[in-house]
Amino acid sequence: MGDLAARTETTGIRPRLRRFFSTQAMLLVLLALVVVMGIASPTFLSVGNLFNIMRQYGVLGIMACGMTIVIIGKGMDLSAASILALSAVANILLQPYGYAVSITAALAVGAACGLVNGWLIARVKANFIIVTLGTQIVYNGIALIITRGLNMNSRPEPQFRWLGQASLLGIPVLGWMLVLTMVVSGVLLARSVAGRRLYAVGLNPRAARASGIADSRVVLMTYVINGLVSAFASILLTSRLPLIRVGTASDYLFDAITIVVLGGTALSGGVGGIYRTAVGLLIFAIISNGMSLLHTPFEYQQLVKGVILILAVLYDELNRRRRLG
Amino acid sequence: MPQTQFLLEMQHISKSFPGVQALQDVSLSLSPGEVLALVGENGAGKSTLIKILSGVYTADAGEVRLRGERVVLKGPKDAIDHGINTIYQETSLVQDISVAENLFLGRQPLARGRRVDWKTMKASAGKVLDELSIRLAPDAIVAGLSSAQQQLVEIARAFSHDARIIIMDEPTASITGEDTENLFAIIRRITGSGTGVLYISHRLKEIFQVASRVMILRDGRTVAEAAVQDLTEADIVRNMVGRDIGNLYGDTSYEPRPEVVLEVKGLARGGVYRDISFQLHEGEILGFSGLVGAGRSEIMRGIFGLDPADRGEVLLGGRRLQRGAPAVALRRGIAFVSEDRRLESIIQGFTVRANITILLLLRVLGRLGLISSRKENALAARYVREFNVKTSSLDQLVMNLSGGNQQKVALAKCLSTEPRVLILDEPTKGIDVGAKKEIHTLIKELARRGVAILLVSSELPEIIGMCHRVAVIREGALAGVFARHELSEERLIAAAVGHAAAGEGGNG
Repeated sequence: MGDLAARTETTGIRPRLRRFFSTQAMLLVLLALVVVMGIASPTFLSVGNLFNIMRQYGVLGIMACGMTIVIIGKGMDLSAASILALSAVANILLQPYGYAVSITAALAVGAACGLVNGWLIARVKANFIIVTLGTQIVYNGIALIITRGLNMNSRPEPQFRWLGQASLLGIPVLGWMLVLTMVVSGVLLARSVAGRRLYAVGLNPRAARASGIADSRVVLMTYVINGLVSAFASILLTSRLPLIRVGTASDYLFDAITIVVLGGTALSGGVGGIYRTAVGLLIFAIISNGMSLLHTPFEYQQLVKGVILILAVLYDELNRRRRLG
Repeated sequence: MPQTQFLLEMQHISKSFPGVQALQDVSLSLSPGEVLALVGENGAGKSTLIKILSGVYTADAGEVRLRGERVVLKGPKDAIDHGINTIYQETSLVQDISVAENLFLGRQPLARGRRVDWKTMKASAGKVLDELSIRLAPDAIVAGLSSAQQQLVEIARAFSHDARIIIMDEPTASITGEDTENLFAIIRRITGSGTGVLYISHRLKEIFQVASRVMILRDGRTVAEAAVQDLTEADIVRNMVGRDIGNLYGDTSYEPRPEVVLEVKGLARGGVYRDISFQLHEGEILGFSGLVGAGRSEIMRGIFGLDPADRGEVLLGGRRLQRGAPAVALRRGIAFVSEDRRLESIIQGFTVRANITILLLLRVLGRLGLISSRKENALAARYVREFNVKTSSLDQLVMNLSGGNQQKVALAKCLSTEPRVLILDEPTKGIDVGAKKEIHTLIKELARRGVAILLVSSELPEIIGMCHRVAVIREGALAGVFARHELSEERLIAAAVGHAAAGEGGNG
């Protein structure tokens, strides 16, 4: 039964410390990084660099929020970066008809891509890794066919550039957008009925179904939401970098997953949240930004990122074992 | 060291976990050929004691002696090498290979060239099975066996390991009537050859059938130890819970009301059950009895809509219920507590609070349509109090509660919707006597208030003690419905196995 031992884990100093370190370890890592980087690079703690980080990692942070939702539902969306690319293409192509049309089209493309993923995974019950691996290629392929592999230029009118490049109250608009996405998705996950149901499905779809929760609809919705979030990210990205080439977006996928797992949202589903993703994002951003400030060669940066992902997965596995006692 | 007649002695064993004294100065002895029953509520220390004996835990103090000789068990493997075998509730057999291979796993007889000697292995396996009169083919694949048969294979394996001591942790938790008899016959055969058995069960009746001595644990101490003929069921219960809990099943002297709440007409699901029709009245407890695998649980799941029926209909208050839609069933007033507590009736990784409120989230919303912590806490706290759930806080994960308390959370969750019909599938399986009694009282109280209840149970005394009527399911069909005055264990068993005359049930 083992229930005795488990029950006593809530008392005593040592178990409490152990629990703190295993659940909040990443917060300590973050603080340590801030101190180390602050000492190593004089520009790191400057306001300018902080805003730079916001601009540089805002789009990625938004992607990570969408990915967090999918992962809590016990899934993963490997096509997220391709959705980003495809909706960016839709956005740029339709800009001659006005920004309202092009932005709506980008969001519609994102939602449609998510719907295809969600339908295949939740209704057809196909494996989420294979499905999104396939749609990753398909969405990317469509984008490449449309652009014929060439660069695309976004129309650089000021009202659109404002989104990705301007500042509001002294803080980059991109930073505001990131905070807005985090607050909305964080509150929805933590406090809405739909969010609670998502955690239930992620932890145990059978028990969720017995509680009258339509588990497959919940899972389907996570992919649609992630499609929309990816499209939203693509709109900000096309505004920040007027020149887009399909294929360069693929880094976003890898980095978004790294951030979510690094924060401590469990790959096994049902555990985690946006707060954790925020911590993961900051750690990731500080390390990458720090490496740039310290002029680390690109190859080494890639190597470090790979190692971070592996460490994040080990951390996830450790957390899983701790939860199971 | 003087010779002793005892196979096993555990002397002055103590073991504590941070914050809990799990065992305090517990001693026991086991003679060759004896069956010692170990009883106690969940958390009384039984599990800890057998884990020490099977080498999983090390005692803080005290010693273990085998035939008078002191041993230190260094791990589970070491315990097996010392002739101590444990059969846990969950099977430890490898599912995809044969019975013979399982019996000789890791010690297959070898022929020339280090090949496995299949012929010898099959023959030896056949001999072991024969010796125990277990009617199974050595080359049968384990996955195809029933859980009762798998249990017998485990016993045969322990026996073939020259086990001198076999520990059985609730061996009958998932089997019924006839299989239980069969198991007892085999236990008698093993003990006949001098092996000692340490038997753990929550089913007190069985203890009187199979054990020679009983040791009762409460809060980590031995509270009583006696030969089985010197005890009554009431004595055991009193010692386990430390108080007199009176009639196990409570008062039954009230009648259901005449109104029909639920009507099931010709319900069927291909190959699983067929032609199920019955009516359920307000305030009635209708039991479902039968062998495990007869289709009782599946019928309940069909009514609730989890595994939808393909034919027939369910009428709730005279109106047809949509098929295969648990959400609709819940909304219209049917609640369902699954047999599978771990995987279905509650969400193990959720807190006590989140489990209780999952069906009522719409009632705890605050500003902006978001869940209000204050309202949610109030609702959860009310049900924790009302159902006497023992938990350190509302934030405690349900997986850290005892089985009985998990079940109370599952019930609290379902009853929070104030259902008109409550479906309970094995609600007291694997639950200690104290919590069981509380659950029985609760069920009766609900029925008295007018809730109509469908109760599936494999425990005949429970079903006879609780129900107004009992339907017996045999091979997916209704084999009979008995009114309270017609109920007897013999009659229910006979109907379950298909004997025409009552009282012959045990032989088939």
